Amino acid sequence: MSKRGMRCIDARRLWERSRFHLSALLLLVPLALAPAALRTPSPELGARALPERTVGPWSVVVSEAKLEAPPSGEGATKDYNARFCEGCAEAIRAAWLTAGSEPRPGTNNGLLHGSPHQLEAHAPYPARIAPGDRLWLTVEGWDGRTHEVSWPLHEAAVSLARQ
Amino acid sequence: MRGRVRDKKGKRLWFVVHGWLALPIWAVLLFVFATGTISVFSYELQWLIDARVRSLNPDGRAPIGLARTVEIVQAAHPEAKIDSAYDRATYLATRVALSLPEAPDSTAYVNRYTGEIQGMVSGETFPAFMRALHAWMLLPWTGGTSLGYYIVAGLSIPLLGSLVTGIVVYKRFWRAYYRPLIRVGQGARTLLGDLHRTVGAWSIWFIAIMALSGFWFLVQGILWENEMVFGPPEAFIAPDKLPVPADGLMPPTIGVAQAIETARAAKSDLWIAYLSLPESAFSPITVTGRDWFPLGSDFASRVAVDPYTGLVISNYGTSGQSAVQFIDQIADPLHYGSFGGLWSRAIWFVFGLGLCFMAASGIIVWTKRTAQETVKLIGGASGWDQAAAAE
Repeated sequence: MSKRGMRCIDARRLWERSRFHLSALLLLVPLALAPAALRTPSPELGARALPERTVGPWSVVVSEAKLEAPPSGEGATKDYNARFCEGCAEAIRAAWLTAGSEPRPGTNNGLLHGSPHQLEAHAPYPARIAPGDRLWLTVEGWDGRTHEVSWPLHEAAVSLARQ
Repeated sequence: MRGRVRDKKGKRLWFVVHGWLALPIWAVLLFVFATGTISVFSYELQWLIDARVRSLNPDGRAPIGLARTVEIVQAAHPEAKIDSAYDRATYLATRVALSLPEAPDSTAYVNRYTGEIQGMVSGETFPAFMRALHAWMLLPWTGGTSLGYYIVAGLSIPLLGSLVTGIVVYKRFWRAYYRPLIRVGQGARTLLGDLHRTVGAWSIWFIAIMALSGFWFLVQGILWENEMVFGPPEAFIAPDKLPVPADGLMPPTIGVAQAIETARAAKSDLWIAYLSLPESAFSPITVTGRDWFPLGSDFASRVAVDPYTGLVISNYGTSGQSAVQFIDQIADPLHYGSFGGLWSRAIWFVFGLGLCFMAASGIIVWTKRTAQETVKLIGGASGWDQAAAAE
């Protein structure tokens, strides 16, 4: 057999023998993701804070949970965190974060829930973002009054920031 | 004569298919089997390594119960928001999930007999990490699904195929139950092959459970992606049912102890394992646990209590479940062997190790053999086939 023929056989035999081990490459994925999974969560509120606002008698800091672009399409949501002023949680019944041309809070639609130190919400975004859209925060007090405040979307998501 | 030759070729085809279903993915299969096996005993492994998660009871006291546990943690950390409390086993400390201003997503370990807070950790615990590693390879959940979840659950299909083709190939596999053929001293390939067949025959019931429960998880993932809800009915308090406090501040809520009493009264056979506190003004206190059904998990049965009025909002259990809800209930305990406690977990752990062995022995034996088998089946004899056959 020619030298080239022998090289072809070697290469082929190497492939025949080791092709089944290719699937082990997939295991690099959990290996790469493990450090992040084992990390102690940061006490920081989300990844990036939006400008602080006053809403009714209270003040609030809202922040993007992750530096991700808002998704597009039906049913898309983006995660946010929020924290109200010290001691204010007692007077607040519920709060919602929704994005769009107008606020549309529903019982579960963008409801801020969880620990008052790090409230979280899956804010629904419109299927396609229109120029006038904003991120709306609707807050209801236990006294029955509702207050609203909003941010332009270029402030609400770093990926949408004006250059 | 002709019939026998055809039989042999047919059997060889099943044999080759048996290999091709599992071999190209053997490393991923072994990873999933190994992480799953560890997950079965993840809490117990943690008990062995970390003294904080044990509930030692040298004075022989009675358990203090979930209500008292929550009370103790809240008193020790007044600024904490407690999310849930999980009393999983008599030898384990109760796990209280809470959030502190400086440490979100924390877990407190409380001795279920003495009430001592034995430790506080922030971030994912070992059992949670193992579950994430096994069930979705740590790939993130976005929009209700995880690619890793589909990959792992999808492995149930080649696993089922391997099981069926393996049984077809191993005619009279039941002989392995009373007269297993294990030839020692005739070389590693023969021994591993014999052990692969024997362990396989003994594991048929286990592999079937793994493949079928895994396939359910795949179906479940698809249903979730399409936003189909089939678990316990969502219980929340309608906004117009909320109390209107005169002073404009948060109204008083019933304590955890009262919620548990109410749940016990509503469901007399409830063996309480888990308690979850409201995450918003509209959510109830839920008391979760096992009921009369022996194959259920710690989360099979659930009573939701209105925290303002103390009335039961929903009462969900094995009786009155739909078929889908029932399958959803038993899939997890059957998959991880958690339905019976230590004894069922021990059996699942041993057979999990057996599955790991199946994957490992499979690749070793096949690599030595398949070159020859594929050649015989195809009937070709080019230069490279002969070289490979000479391996």
